Amino acid sequence: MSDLKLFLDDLAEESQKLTQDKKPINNFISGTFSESGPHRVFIHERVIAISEEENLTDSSPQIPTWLYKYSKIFNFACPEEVIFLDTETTGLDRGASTYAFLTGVLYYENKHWVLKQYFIESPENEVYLMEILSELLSKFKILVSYNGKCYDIPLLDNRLKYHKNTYSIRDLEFLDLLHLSRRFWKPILQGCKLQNIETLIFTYIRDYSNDIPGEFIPKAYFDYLATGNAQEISNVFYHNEQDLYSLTRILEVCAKLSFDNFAYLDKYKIHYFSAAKLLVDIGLEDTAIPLLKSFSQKDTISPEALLLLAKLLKKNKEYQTALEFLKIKEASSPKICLELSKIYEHYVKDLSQAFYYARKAYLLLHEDLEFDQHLIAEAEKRITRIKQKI
Amino acid sequence: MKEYYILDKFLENSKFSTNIAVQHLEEAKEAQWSQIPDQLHPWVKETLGELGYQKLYMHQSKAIRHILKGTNTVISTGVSSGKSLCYQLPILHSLSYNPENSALCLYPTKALAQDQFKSFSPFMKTFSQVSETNPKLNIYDGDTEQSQRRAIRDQANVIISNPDMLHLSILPNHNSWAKFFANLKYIVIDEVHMYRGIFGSHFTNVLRRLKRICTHYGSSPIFILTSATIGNTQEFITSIIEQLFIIIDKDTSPQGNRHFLIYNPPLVNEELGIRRSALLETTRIAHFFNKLDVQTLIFTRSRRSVELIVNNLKSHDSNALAGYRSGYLKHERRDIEKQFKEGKLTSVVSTNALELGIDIGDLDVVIINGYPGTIASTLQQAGRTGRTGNDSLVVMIANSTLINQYLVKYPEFLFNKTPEQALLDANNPYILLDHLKCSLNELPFARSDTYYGVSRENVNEILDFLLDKGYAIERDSVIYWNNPQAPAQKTSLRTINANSYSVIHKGKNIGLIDNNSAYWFAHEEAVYIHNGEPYLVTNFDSKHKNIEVVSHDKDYFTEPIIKTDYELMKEIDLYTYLFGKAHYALLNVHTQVAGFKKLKWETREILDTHDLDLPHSTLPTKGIILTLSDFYEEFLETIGNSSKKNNYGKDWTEITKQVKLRDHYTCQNCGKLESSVSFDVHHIKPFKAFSNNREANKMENLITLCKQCHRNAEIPVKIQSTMAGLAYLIRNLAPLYLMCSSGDIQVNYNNDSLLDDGKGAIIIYDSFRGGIGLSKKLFTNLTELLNLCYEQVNDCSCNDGCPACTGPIAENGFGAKDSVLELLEEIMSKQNV
Repeated sequence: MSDLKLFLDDLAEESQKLTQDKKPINNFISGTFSESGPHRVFIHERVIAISEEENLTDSSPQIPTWLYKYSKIFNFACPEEVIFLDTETTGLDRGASTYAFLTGVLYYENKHWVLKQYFIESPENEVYLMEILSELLSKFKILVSYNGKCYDIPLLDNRLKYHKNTYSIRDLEFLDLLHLSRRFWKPILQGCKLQNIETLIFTYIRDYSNDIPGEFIPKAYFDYLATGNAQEISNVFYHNEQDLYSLTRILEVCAKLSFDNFAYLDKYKIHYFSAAKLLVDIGLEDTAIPLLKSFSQKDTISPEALLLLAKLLKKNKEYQTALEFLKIKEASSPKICLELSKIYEHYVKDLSQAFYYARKAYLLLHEDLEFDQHLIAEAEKRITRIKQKI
Repeated sequence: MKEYYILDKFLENSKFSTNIAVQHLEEAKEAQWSQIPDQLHPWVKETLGELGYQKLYMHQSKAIRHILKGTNTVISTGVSSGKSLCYQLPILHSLSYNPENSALCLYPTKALAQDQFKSFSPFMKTFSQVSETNPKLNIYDGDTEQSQRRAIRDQANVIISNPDMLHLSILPNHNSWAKFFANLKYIVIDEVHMYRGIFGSHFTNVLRRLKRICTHYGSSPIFILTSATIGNTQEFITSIIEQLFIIIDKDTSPQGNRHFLIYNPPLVNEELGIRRSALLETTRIAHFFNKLDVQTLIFTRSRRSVELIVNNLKSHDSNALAGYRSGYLKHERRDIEKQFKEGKLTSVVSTNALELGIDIGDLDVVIINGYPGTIASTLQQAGRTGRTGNDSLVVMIANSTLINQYLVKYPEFLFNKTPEQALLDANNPYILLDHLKCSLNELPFARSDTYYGVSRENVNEILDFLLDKGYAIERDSVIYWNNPQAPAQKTSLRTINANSYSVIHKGKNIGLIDNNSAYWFAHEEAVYIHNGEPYLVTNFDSKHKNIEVVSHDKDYFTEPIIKTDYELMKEIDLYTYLFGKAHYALLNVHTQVAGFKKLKWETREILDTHDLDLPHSTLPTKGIILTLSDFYEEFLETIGNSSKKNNYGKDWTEITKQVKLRDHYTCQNCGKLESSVSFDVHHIKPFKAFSNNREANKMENLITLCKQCHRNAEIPVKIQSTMAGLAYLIRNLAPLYLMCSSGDIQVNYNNDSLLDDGKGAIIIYDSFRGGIGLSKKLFTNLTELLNLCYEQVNDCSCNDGCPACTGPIAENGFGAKDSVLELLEEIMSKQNV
């Protein structure tokens, strides 16, 4: 026995080898093995007829034209060119040792949804999984994911390179729904976790007895590798499938965004101002104006929302309408008064009104001791100038 | 010149000048120049020209020529000899040929990395202009903003980092650095001599992981190393990089006169060999320069003494000063560096934390409180003065310890650059295990993979261990990491025991203290000193790793009382000397802080001792159990028979009468009755083990023995005190012989036998889990060490033993010096036959 061995034997290690009966994945999940040389990948595949699965949207994945613009995708894509992807990995960081042991995809084919989940029974099979995935992904143009830009895509990119696979995942167009979700729900959700959106926005409750919390997934796989018992892994399949469905739900909300009927806002708990700003960003200003107008009579309307509305109206040369809406909050907001002064001075050419509102802004600013010095200076400048003009 | 003025002022002061034992002048020397190597790319030459370099030192040119040929190169020249240029130019050269090329520069500390970044930047900038390319130079360490990290990784050319960052962040995420690793041309390791002991053993393993990753990405970078002068450069660097290399060690840079004084504090008790406290003398000298407003850096060995000196100086009327050591928060340290550099601080008292090349400007004077433990450290600390080639003054204050007094007597040891060795053991089982975990996590291991300096048998033993413990799985003879925990996060490079405690004052974290030190210095009721301020520990929370303290204004500090037990795990090897046997073995050393002493600040008078009930800690390590042969044990019984009596106090005669009466004038061992020859009264626990007569002479500690039985009873005591005296010598001289820090190796006499022969033994062991090869190095070379011991005792002018030979009398008893000397004389005479 070497000295080293003696030291090792003397070590009190917390970690102990697990022992459990071996139960391979096909004991729990139906599927087939795809084999290549010494390697194999387990594939679970289901075709989901429209409205067979109530969790799923009842239409083809509608990617509205504006979304292409938002995501800098200019080429038209038919629904068949879109693939949803979500990976389950051996670590929560993107360290070199982390790899995806389960990759789920969902795509639309022959008016049906197709779900495919690829699972490797141990790490040496990853090289073959990369071959299968690269072949599959190369058939699509747009990859829809949740936080994929920061997580799944760099991870797969790294693993493809690690296995010297020449396919470049970066050639796909990416649509990351996390970014959109943040715009919709950041004010009401603490961290836009996909499952929070699922329960709080879509009020959909998973079957928790079949699910596994995300943070336990790496350990479940390590345990499986140590024991060969795949019981817990079947929950990871369920988790992955559910995540993919939620992606389709978010996309559906996006599709509804351009509707003129704003009932969907309430339904999906989207703040009108977030929606309005997004509409402006994607060039749907004509939809944003009625949306903002419809909220303008409510007490809760913010000066910022009114200023945005005024800006859009000014663009349409509807100065009087802009003045009307701004006056709703003139009593409390120096910024609104300054805007009113500007419109009176430059567009309506009513200098006395312009002076009145500049002074009002100045007085309001002085009521609040902590108010922005920059704004006070602006009000002073404005007053002096209008005085000279008068 | 200013320095001469300072030296003269100092020598004029008779309080100081009479105690100067050694005055050494390192004479100024001229530079030796050479042409800029032709091989360098024209852009690099132009860059040098732009920055005003017309020529290089000879050693720089030579190093660069070797590096450009693709040879691993070590530059081992003095402080401020332009070592950085030796790697900066080849890096620029490689960037001239391919803008994608990359280099990794590692510095032992973040502060040093910052400093080197500043020195490299002008070269990079000028090179960019000359070449019209845009190479990137970046620091990538724990302070780098998360938001910048990705951009730095993606565009990296020259990365400045430290071993910890490499270990914790870069290697575990090598996939994000794929391009960098694939194009890696140079690995620069600055101040490589710093990587000895534990840190070095870890570092070698980090390099093994780095090399594995480079191989994976298809690169084979060249190593460029800079080092202070060490004795075993060849052996040391071989064990660090595990590749062939060439050493450039002829320093051709210029140097100003350096006055190096060794100051020996006056004897306060000649007989006992006790000198005035070096710490107080350091304070006095520091105060002298502080009042002269001369910028002075004071090096002292322990964190505790930093605080004591700062405390003492503050209590005088001093110009601005500060302490500096690990445990201070980062921003505090940056602030002190800056203020010192700007001249806002006159004196800074530091541990070796400031020894490395951090630019704190050019100093006038360096004071070194006690020999820092190695020549490399001494030279580095001295090198903080006169960095611009000016004349400079260094004052080293010798303390009473053997090693310091040895240097006072033999200063040539310091100035003639006697070989100094740096040791490490990259195959320390714990360190190896930790890093194999990390490496496995980074890339799977094939059973057939080799792992640098580790035998395949050992690699497989560890892999099997990891498989067995469920950390890994094996598929088709390939081992994969299989645990959600990232192993690097659990491994600290600086210790073999990663965790540390936070020190909390009024709810605020004021510093950190590592696990082991916490028990020693911050147990409950300990006086813990931070930034010159004493604090009293009120709560030691081992669960949350918090130590709560309150301000302490009482006139005492505390020192731990450590209890040590040894356990022999397995004998590895045996070496038989003429004088005895050395058993090289795996040991478990159990230590426990059994209590603490309260000592008065000024006098160190013991006010009080307290017991503590703290958990013991076990150090599994390697060591030597040294026993004397029967011949020498018998020899010890016959020598120096009680030539000096203890003074048992004035009541002794009366006490002996009472004891004899109690024992009925009968020898309590053989039962003989006292007759014409009077019997003796014996101390069961030796007299000198007590601090006062009264305790020692208590009736229950005394017993009546006949002359014969008394002699037999005294013999083990004599053997004990001789062996303890010898252990003291070895403990103090072994670090000098091995060139390690004195804390790295422990030497103690242990009376309870660990072996079947029932003999007490001197136990010599490495202070690190698993050992780092120190005691192994001694194992077959003890005769040489004993010879050093003999010279030291023989030359010592004290009467009965002193701190500079067999130890203070109070520790090892009267007569220890004579018996140690006689024993060593006998041993040496036999060796020489």
